[in-house]
Amino acid sequence: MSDQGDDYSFEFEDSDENSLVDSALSSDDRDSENEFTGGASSTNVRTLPSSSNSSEGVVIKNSIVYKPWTLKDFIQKFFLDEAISLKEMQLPQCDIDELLIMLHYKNWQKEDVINDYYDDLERFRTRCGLPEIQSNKKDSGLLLGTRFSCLICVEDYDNIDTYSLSCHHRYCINCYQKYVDVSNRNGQLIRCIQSNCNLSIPHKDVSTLQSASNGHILESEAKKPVPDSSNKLLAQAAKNYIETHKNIWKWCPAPDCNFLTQLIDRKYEDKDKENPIKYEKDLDISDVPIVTCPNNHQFCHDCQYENHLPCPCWIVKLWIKKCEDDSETANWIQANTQSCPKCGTSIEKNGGCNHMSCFKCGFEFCWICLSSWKEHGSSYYKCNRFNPEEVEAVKKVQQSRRLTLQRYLHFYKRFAVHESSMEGDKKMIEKVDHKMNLFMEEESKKKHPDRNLSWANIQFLHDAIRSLTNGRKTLKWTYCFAFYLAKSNFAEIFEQMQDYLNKVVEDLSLIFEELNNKKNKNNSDIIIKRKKEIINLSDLIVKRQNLLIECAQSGLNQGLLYFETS
Amino acid sequence: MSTKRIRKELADLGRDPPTSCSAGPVGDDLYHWQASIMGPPDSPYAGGVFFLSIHFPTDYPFKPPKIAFTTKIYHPNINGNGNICLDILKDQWSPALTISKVLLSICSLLTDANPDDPLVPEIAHIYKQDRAKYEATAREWTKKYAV
Repeated sequence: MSDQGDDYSFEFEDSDENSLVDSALSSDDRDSENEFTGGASSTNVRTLPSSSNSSEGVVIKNSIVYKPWTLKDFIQKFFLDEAISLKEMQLPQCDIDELLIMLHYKNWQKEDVINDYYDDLERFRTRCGLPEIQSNKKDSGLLLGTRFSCLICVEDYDNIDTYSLSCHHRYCINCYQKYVDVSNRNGQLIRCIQSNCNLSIPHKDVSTLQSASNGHILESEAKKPVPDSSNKLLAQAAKNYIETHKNIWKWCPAPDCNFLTQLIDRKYEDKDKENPIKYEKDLDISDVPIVTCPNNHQFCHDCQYENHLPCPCWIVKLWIKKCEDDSETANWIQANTQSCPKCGTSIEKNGGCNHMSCFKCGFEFCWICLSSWKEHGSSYYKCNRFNPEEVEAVKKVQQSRRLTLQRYLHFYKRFAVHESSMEGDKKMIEKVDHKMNLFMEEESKKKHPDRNLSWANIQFLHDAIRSLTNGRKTLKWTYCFAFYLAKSNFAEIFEQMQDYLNKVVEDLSLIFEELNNKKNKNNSDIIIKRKKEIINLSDLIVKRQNLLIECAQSGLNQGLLYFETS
Repeated sequence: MSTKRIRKELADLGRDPPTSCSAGPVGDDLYHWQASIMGPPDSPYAGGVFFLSIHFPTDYPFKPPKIAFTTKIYHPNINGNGNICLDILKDQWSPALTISKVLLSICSLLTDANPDDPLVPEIAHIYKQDRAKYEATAREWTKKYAV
């Protein structure tokens, strides 16, 4: 599900002329807060003062404190800076490459590195794949342009770069390049090519080796004194780390968006909610942790979905699962894979024994009973036991699925229509943008001061499109909400509100379609003529949207609305 | 490049063949081999000759070859389809390994099974609880399928 509707940039600065538009849109607009660009600021959003480094960029919104990151910043801060701080503070005797390997081996936990280092240095170094301290580093590393016969590709070269670690297992750069490429899929340390040789290739060398082509390395890469944040092994390790720390780190789910958010703190008014079992079916949607990435994509930090208000997260989960259950992919995944009991990664078993180790988090478990292999011990044969309770549960789920299919299709259709309309809106933005660009160019040539449409005057269009997309998003999720909603009098009020929002969204959409109509050549005139109407409608959408969410919130809080999910 | 490497391995096998195994291409396809292993004398597989099929991936030697028994064998780490649970055929594979070294590892797996990481738990259970019974069945299967 895409959340690209509001992904466009404003290249022209706001001027005084559009202050009216600004104030009309920013008031009470909980869905278009603009924390990062310093635009419309709202009362329930504030950025911490950037006096200290650690709190820079931290956003506090409602009940959630978070911080957006880029992958490069992440690598710099949590990998490279950690190594540098170890070098400067606790372990100045080690060099940066070794510290990075130690940190990587210990999953980037600085304390663990220090503990193991002082616990049993020799054993720790061996495990990390670092050579013995007195080992002879002479004749190791890169050798440029020599005559060499490589035992792996069995080629005889007259002039080729070669590489080895201090173990002197030297191979040609072509083989090393392919080896590193193949090995850098799971984000683990890459060891020497030789079997049974445990030495780790330093991160810096990995990118040097990856730069090789036609038997020679890229010298600019080899000259870098320390790895930087563009290092591919570090990037893979970072992705791995993020995947296995999903409770804190989330990727922005919007397509092509590379931002991450780090959850710093969650505040619950009701202390009980820290208890996850009670929290599971929470009805208070004011706690939903909606975050905004620097590209202005809003998403829920818990479920990593777009802003799904008024639905609480657990309803979203039910809905998503339901939608997926009806698709072939999900059926295939359900039939052919199991989730790692620790990190939840889907695993397909295509051979081998039942002793599985998750390639993402490394958790070792039994494929049959999904319990940890350690506890399993030698009682592997126990797993052949048949469990009738589980089979019974599966059957029950299937039956209820069939019963609700009809009802589900009704709501799903509406849900999907809004989703595809959002796609349509996105295309419309591009078209309107293009048209307005052409128009502005012409206008600036004419220099008619009285009819001149300035960029600031056009800004309201972008704002309107954004409220349109956000309105649709909320509307879309109300169908998911309504699907699980039990019938009650208050539910009818909710449906009424839903209707209102639907109407204004469609009205605004209609105007845009008119603007986009090829027959209307003078659409700049239409824009000027209908400016007020567009502003009013987009303002109305925001209000209706907020009212709808508030209605859902109060209904749920007072027990007037409740879900039926059995 | 994998062609050259596979040819080299084939030539090496011809020049300096290992004592207890042999391997070579099936027909014209250099990427599909057949191998045979003699049952190690100090094991219940003694006297048997076991055939295996070897498929090289196109990115060999950076990816491990796919090796499976085509002769039925009673062993805790080899299942009914002939699949072998051996670390060097999976995550412990190294491009510096060769088919000859892998075949020798499989030979030593026949001598020393690894019942703590079984592919067939039933056989592993018997292996641990009643070693004599395991050896008898293995000998019986060897006589039946591998002689």
